[in-house]
Amino acid sequence: MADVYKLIHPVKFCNDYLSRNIRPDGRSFKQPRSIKINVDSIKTAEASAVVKCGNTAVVCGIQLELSPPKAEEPNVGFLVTNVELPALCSSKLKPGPPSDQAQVVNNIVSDIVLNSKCVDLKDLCIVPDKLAWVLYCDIVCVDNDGSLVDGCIIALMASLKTLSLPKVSYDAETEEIKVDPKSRTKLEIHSFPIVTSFVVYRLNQSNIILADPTAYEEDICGGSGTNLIVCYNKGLFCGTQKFGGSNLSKDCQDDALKTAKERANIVENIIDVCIRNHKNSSINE
Amino acid sequence: MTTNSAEGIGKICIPGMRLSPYNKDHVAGPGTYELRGYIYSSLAGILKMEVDEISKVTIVSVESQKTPSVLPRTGDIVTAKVTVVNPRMVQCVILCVGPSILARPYRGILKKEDIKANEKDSVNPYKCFRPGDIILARVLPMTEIHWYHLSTAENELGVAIATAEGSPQGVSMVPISWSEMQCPKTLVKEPRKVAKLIPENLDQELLPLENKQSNKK
Amino acid sequence: MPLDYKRFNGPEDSISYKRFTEDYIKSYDQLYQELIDENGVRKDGRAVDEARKMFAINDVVTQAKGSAYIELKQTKVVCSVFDPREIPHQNEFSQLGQIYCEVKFAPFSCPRKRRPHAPEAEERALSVALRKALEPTVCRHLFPNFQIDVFVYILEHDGACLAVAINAAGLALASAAVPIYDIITACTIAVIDGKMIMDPTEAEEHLAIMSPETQTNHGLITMSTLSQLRQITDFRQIGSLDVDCVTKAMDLLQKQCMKIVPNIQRVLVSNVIKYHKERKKLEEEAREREEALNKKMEEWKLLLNAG
Repeated sequence: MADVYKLIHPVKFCNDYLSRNIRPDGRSFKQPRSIKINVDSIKTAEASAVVKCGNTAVVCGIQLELSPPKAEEPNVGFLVTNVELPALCSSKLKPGPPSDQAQVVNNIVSDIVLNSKCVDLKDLCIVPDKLAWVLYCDIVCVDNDGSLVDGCIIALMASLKTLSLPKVSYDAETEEIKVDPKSRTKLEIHSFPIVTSFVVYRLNQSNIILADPTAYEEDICGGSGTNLIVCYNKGLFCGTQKFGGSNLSKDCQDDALKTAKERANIVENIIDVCIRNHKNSSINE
Repeated sequence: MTTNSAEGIGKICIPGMRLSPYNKDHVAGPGTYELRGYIYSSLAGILKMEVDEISKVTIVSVESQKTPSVLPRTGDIVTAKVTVVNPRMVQCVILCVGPSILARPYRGILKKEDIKANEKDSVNPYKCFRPGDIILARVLPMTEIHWYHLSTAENELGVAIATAEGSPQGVSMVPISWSEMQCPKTLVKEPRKVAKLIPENLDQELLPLENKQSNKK
Repeated sequence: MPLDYKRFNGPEDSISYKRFTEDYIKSYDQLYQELIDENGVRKDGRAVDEARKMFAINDVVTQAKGSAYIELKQTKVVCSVFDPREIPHQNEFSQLGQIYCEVKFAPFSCPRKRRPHAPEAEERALSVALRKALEPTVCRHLFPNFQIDVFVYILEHDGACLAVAINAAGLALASAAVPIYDIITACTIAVIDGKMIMDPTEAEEHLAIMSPETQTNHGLITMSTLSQLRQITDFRQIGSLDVDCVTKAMDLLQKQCMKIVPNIQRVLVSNVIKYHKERKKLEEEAREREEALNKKMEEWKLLLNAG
């Protein structure tokens, strides 16, 4: 019943809910969905995390490769992030090369990770000009129900936090490389970016913001994907992007920043707790 | 018919389950198929055995909780949204078939001569529909590969929900005659091929599902 | 390979670090001894004819019409099915609907190498195999001129991925309410040195298609069946096997396929029950709401009549 109404009268359906201060899925405007994190479940990857934010499900896996560094930056390694949106995660996608939306998300995620300097690329260099680590971080969306960037960053940060690099010995004379996968050192994480997405909804001549929107809310607010992305890094505001949708008032923006800041703290704690629990349980085994 | 459960759900079927023999008294209804003298289930759902009042045969069917992934069939009433109007025809996307929602919209086409039952030649599509209108229509036999031909040449079919030009989204017009609707906010009148619906029961008329339930009560 | 401009690429000449570890290259005999000991017990403790335990759930992808997730220990596969859609670039009227299958490996899914993002030959071959297996399963006459999309994503590959993909696709089709003739199940068997290894892991598969110096039977067989109708929808074999060996393997495979059926049935039945309960609850709530409204109406009527 409600589904039919939602389909043929989308604007009225939304208005009916939002004018009563509640969202179609029962949340309040600034309430994000619950997060579930599972680290290190994929054994073929060096580090991995499965993250569910509400219905949105994202899997991140990191693989390690070795390569000589670039000639112009001999003491710097590589961090390559890719977000994959396969056709199975949403009915709007078609099989084939990455859609425009996938490329946009890919770019945003890569920007945030590289700009936040959470991984010092110099840490990834083994022997200057000769050998460096290449971190292939592949983030796959399995179920796209909105706020994709949030999920991608959480999955990526959780995997990076559990990543350890095997010991490499390099013989300068014979150029022989030896890797001992048993002795490992943890990769140092210098900062911790967390993203919160919002959409701006126009309700009776005023704008309201909805945190952590679902795919349906994203559709209603026009534009592909979310309208506003706010990034916090350990309590420091480090970036915001606005894509289409309704215009944003000063009050809304302040609200969004405050909500994002609070959420970044909570999410960071959640990731820490999940990793700790995982470690404890694996020791017990 | 081995799987049974308490709680009065009825008989649960899963694909490939043998339901009954196929003979004079039993025919295969929706959600089933006939093979080598037996009726089998093709969906996961609940078994339904209905006796047809006229022919006295039992129709064996399986009811799934989700809309079965089959396409609109000839004669079905569909809910569609108008996308393009031109002097010869109206194009639309089909959103619902009867009470069930389609996950993927299918393209429908409404030819000028199928809009009204009378005065077929003098119909002006621009005075009947506008892009964005929600209409009720009946599916005609399929002649093209990917287009469903529709018809609104019945009193009960036509525009169900429409927004006047310039009115805010979500404010629907109210029908004032069989060919005109009026916006309650701006009081603008616009011509439409109005479907004969009783306004208070608009939702119910639109959705036969609700009707069936209330009839049962 | 042409550069992929739609993604970020790493340096061209990067190599997995595993290439430089000590035990990277192993001989056939070494691998064999590692995987199966003299008592016929496998590395993970299973007997030769023992399959892994299957974990299956459906409706994991909320955006799809129907979906399934199946896990055979480390092999993890997601499958989603969408409603029929128009076949692009089709000009002819076709009585039967089509099934479009796409199998993809996650870049991090394989233990040996990083998978490229662009589709490669193995994925294409698996997609075709999946389509061939599903075509006799689906009632295709019900959606002429349209196609049903079946997408399979392999999150982790530890052997038998085609069989798991077929099982997942079957469950996803059933939970998407696509009419199908029967529940399809599949399994894989590896033949190593004449031994029948049921439900092989990736390492065992690798060993089975490595050609040893001796001329013994070795290879891989994947078979999918419709259990109630007793039909084989697809049979795929690689390697060198004699006829006796193949018939023996088919017997084993058929038995194993039958064993998987209850797993899938259980998921579907519990799903039907779950939906039924939800619907009942909703109906109950609706009735309560209606009653409350009616009561209010009566109150107002009384007020009106009085005033």
